[in-house]
Amino acid sequence: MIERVIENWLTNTNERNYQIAFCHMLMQKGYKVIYVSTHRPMEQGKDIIAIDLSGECVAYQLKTGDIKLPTWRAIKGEVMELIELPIVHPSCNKMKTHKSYLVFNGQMTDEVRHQIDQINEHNSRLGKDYSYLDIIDKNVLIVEFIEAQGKFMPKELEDFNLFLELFLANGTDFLDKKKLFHFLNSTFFSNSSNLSEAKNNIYCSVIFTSYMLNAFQIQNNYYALFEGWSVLVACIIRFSSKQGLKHKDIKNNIELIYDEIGKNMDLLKNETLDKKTFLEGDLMGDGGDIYKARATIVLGTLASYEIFSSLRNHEHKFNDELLNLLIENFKNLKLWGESAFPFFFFIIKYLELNNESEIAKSLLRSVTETVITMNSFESKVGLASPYYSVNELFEAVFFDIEKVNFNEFTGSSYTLECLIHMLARRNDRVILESYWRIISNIQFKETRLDNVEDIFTWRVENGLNYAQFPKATQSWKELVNDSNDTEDTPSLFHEQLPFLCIFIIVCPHRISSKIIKLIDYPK
Amino acid sequence: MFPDFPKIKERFRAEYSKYLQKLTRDDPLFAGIKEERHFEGDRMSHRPEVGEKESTYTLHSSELIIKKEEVIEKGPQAFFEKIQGIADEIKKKKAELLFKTMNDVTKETGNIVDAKGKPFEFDSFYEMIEKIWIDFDMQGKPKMPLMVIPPQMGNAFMKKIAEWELNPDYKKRLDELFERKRKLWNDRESNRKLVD
Repeated sequence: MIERVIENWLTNTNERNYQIAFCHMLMQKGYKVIYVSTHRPMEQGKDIIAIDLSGECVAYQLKTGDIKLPTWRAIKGEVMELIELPIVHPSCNKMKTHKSYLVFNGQMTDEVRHQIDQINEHNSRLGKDYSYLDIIDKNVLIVEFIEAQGKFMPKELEDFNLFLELFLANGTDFLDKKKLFHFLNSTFFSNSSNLSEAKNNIYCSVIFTSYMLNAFQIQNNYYALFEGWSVLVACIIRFSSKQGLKHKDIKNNIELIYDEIGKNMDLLKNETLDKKTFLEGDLMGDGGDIYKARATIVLGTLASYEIFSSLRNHEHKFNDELLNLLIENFKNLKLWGESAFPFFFFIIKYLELNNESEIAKSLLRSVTETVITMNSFESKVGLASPYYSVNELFEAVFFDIEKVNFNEFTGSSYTLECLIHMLARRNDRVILESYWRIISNIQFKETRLDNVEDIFTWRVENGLNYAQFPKATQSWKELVNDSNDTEDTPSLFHEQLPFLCIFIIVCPHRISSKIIKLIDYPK
Repeated sequence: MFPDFPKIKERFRAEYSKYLQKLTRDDPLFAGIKEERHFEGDRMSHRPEVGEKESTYTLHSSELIIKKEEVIEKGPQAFFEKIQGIADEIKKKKAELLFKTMNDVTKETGNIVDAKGKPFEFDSFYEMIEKIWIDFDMQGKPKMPLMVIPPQMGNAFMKKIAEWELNPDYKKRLDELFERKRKLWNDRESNRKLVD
């Protein structure tokens, strides 16, 4: 059954999407992947460069589908670059001829195979120092991937069912993150006896995640793919923390996944800038609040990715077109519940970082005011906590109002303390002054986990649901000091600061004033 | 693609469909006509007194034009605002099909009263009642069928009915007719039995 799944995935995917699984399959075999072409055009015909077990440099060019004569003619130039041009990388000796593979998830016709044979023979006969071209077709890929997933075939019926549900999901819908977290944690990240086994678990998890995101890849659902890969990073970080792995042990895996996330974010950004509206799919049911929620999600996610990129690379340049789009769509933002907060946070940050402070201030004040008024003690209908997704809330509001008790959210908030600290850090006390009487009757809520690394999972059994009223009489000076104090922030948060930018978009229920403090003004 | 909400849209579509069906059935003309759903097959048949009649399905549709800006601004409300117009058009097409079918059937069976261009008088009305099948309830009251009259004739026809009711001769003839009809119904119903 798993073989059918792998075959189905390979048949429907393209080289862009099977690249990461292929890299991890190589790494699982003990290869060292030293270069992967991501956002840049393919360099000298080489998509992937690796060092094999004998220390030889190997170059791969990845293609989609069958290689028939017309396709061969179209790609021949790139393939000749693959074999003729030496690998330009510090880890590879230019004097030594590398190995070359043309990889494709289809079949090759005899005519093409014959031509490749002739090229190899011709080069050898003439004594040319060119690489020998070998091929890896779909049949070989299937065998390699089946071998790579090794013992990780879901054996328990429940896990197998979960795997199939994810594989057969509706690719146009939101990713079921709860299921993905559960499957990854129970299959790959439960325990391992040694470093080698732990690393093997990680390689296989990446390959399996490629399968499970298949439905979303087919639909080009970039947001779902962004979420899926982010979930995997979170699981790997948590697992490595529990297993005592060092950063260097998981660095390569994480970087490759970040490349995958970046690829999908670039595609989402291009699509956003190309399309004139945020309409999607069936227009029946679209528009109105659905439209606004989608605009908020897309713009907030793109803003968070820009900030993530800038934290990893200080020379990162922000995108002006995205900024203009944010400003144009100001009226199209929707605070559907507290799970929308991270999107608004990053939009505010992005506006500030691009010198649009007045608009950012206005948005921050507006969000704060909304949370205060809706979640006040006297309110009848509160903003739902960040544990409720936009989908769940819309279903309740449009069709089954009994499903969610909106009254439960009044008198407390998971995001108000974050907003108050944001205003304090910006020395903006106007709103706080006028609303403090109401604020002092709203409990600040937070889930405090017994193990800090458990922040990187969906739900835990061991944790404290903490609630505290703010001080009735609050000193502004003390508030400003508190808002800047990051002393008791766990070191894990500091280490994973860039990733936290995208993680809280994916898991908004993990926001806390500690995390927002760190991201808001990173030191 | 952008993130989407297919399950929510599916529910909106189902609600829209349900409401549209309710509006298209919400008409005196169709209220008395039983509707049934067929889940498969591409044709249907029924057995009149003699032979079997097969027929195919006819699609009734209506075009709905909505601007993208309306959808963005109003959301699903943009569709619901136009639903009455859609329902009216579908009802019109259903009615046209109904009358065409009635015309074809009555031509075949000869169940037609042709006034030949003369004003609609009692004799034509009497002839019409004589030709149709009438059922009765357990109290012996006739279950009169729906009469569909062109709007321009409506008031005039109601006036005539009122006049005929006051005419003792017409009343006697109608009473005798209904008595004959009742007997026919009784005979029909008595024949519904299991025999050796």
